[in-house]
Amino acid sequence: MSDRGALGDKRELAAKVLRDVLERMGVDAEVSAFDDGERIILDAHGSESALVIGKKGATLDALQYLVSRIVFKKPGEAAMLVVDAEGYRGRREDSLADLARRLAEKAVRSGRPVPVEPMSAHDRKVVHTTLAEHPGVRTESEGEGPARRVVIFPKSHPAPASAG
Amino acid sequence: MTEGAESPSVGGSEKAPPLRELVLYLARALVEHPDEVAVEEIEEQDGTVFELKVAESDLGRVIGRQGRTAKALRTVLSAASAKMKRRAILEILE
Repeated sequence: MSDRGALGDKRELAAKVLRDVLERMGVDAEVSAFDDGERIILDAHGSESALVIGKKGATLDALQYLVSRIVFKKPGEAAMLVVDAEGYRGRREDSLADLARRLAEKAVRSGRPVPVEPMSAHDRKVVHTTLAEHPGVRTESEGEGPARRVVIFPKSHPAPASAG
Repeated sequence: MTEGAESPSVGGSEKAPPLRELVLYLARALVEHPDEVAVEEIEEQDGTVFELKVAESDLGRVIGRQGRTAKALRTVLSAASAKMKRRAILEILE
């Protein structure tokens, strides 16, 4: 249970930690902090946002993980912090959702499962959520660690025995 | 609105802080015993090695479950070092 005042304190602390880290990375960026009562969102902006984002958002993910570990000591709280740069995550979610819908159409057309490239837990969730209401397909994650990926199954395809 | 607020391309900011400070800051923020954090910087041919030492009871806090914290530290360090065109390697002493 998170009370608003406590979240506000965490928000300011998280913003400070991110500013301190970016400064020590030698990155010229400003940090804005928001919270909606449940989640804290930190957005870094400036001329070097490409460096803050990294390949497929890898640096953003690392910063988000580290700032979460530093600000929240209890594991359950960590999901409440998002680190973004110039709205990158929103744009990536849009393009992932597009990709998911295109691959779902392919699964329906071909009648075969379509694997999506391996991606982070966050990105897999975007794919699952995008297709949750899709009438023609269902999704599952397969594989371990960095190879874990979403597979899109056409509903015509027989369900595996483990499906519940 | 025409404020002409494009930021001029700022070049040659030679005053990038030493990467050692980045490693020290993150490690101290993650652990329970920041006084016991030490970072040694070793110049090698293919890059700079940062040897991180923390209290034994804090090892888990800088390594993380399945090495996730260590991996995140390395990612952030590489991003920072890419700017300086010099490889940075993080080693956690156990």
